[in-house]
Amino acid sequence: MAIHKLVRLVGLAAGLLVVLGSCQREDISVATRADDAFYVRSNGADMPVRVKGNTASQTFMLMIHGGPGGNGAFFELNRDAVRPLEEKMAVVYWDQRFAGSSQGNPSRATVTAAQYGEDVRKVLLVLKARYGADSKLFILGESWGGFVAPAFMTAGNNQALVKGWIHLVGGHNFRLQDSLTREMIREYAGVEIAKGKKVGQWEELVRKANAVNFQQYNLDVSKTMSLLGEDATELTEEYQNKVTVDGIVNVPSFFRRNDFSSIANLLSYVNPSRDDANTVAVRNEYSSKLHLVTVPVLIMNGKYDFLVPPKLGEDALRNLGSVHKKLLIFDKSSHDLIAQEPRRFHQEVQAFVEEFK
Amino acid sequence: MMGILNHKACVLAASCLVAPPFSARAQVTRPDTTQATQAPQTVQLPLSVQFSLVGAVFYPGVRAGVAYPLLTKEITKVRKAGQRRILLKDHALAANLGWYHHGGYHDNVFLTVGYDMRRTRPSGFFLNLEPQLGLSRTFLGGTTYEVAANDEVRRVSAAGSFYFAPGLSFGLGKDLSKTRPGLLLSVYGKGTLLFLLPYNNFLYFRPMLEVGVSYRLNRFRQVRVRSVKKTTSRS
Repeated sequence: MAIHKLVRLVGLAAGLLVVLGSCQREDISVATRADDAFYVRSNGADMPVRVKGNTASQTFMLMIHGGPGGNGAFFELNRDAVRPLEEKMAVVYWDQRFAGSSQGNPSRATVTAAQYGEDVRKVLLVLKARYGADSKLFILGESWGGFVAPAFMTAGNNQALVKGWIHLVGGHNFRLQDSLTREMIREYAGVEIAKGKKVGQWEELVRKANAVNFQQYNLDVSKTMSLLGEDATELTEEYQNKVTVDGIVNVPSFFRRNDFSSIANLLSYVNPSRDDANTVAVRNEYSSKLHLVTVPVLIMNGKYDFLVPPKLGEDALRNLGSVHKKLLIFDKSSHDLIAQEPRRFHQEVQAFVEEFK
Repeated sequence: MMGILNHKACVLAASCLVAPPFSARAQVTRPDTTQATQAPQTVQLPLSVQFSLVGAVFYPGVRAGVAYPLLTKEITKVRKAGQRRILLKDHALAANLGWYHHGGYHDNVFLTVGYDMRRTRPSGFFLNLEPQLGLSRTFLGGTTYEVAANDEVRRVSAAGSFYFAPGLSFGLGKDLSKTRPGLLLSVYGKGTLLFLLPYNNFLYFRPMLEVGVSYRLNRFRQVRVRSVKKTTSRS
């Protein structure tokens, strides 16, 4: 009898703790230094969203992270780049499905460009529901996020939800991007070899790049080109002399954050769904659909970015249907532009938002 | 900092996984050793209830449950000098209900059933290893919204997910009754690696540290378990 009472007592205590602990508060802050967090459920995924900064401005910048398998906290690592933005607008850090601290167990069949685009739409609708239908929304897609962003922008009437799109070292066309990487390797190899710099290494790199078979373009080809691009970045002397990590990369605060899970963030880098997402990007392209985009677009590329070469930014500029479109080449940056030229980055973003909000 | 802790937890978990169970090690018979095993008997052993405070990395929680004894072995080792050393090996089925609170991320309620293998020295110091199977239900740490087909945004109540939750615990502690008869308490510390799966079509794991007490219900409930006594001596 006593054991039954004890078990009942333990059960009751546990139940009470659960109820107390899991009460879901709805924090909607209209303030100049807001810090709200909530989740958006979409087709099996529970995706965390964190809104930081000036929600009173009613201007929101949704950051669409790279990867695939990255996380919204990546942007926060670069405090010099994002903190000034948070003073002028609310910056929205969102973890995509299968990535970062997203939870649930969505089917792998949901790894489609359309689903990623739909997830963006749902996050934007929730922002409007929370902060007001007249909120001014912008999106910024970085790297892989530059594939997700056009998936959203070119579907239906989605772009009516936003005032503008920032295409930051965005990979809207992986096949073209990888072929441009090869072209850029050849170009820089010519220059460096002519100078007599690391001749053997450059020749080897060109030999490897030429051996890649683009006739059978697939995920392996794309991965190979990414690795060769990284090697080329390391070899480029001009790049090494010019580029420094200018921002404050605040790694300790990233690990101290207790709102989302660092373990989940790390595990998402080895989630098998990453390859599924990359395969989707390899099999789809948005160059041919960018003419559907008519909202203002700001394109940013790094001069020394061998992963997403600046010529891919030119492709976006050429194909976009927008009247207001601009390409900026950051001449002290590679792929990690946000960390390498944070001041110029936030100045250009602020100017764009001010002009079109 | 957290990364370092996670790394330590991984190393601990890995070492637990590769280490042979205590009972397996105990079966080894050296060539110069003789063994005498008495026929199994049945003895009465009490159930235990246990309660512990959980630290899931930096996040607080509690865990409580019952251990149901299954088997006890008393191994007497006789050394060359005639010294006798008695080791107790106990196997029990442990059922635990746990909860931790990771603010902003999730609350996790998990029910586990584990096979507890414990080795106790005469001083009362013990080590235990407990593989577990379980079920977890998470509750998201923030307001959760979903968008209906007509684009209406709605709040989801008690949003979260069920996961299969296997785990592995490695612990040490002291049975206080060995040195103070009548005090039916044990104190223990435990490291647990709890997995949640399938999680994002993959897995999630959570290292946890526990400190707790266990109380033997001598007066309330006793169960019959098989008892084996074995004597090993160097010849």
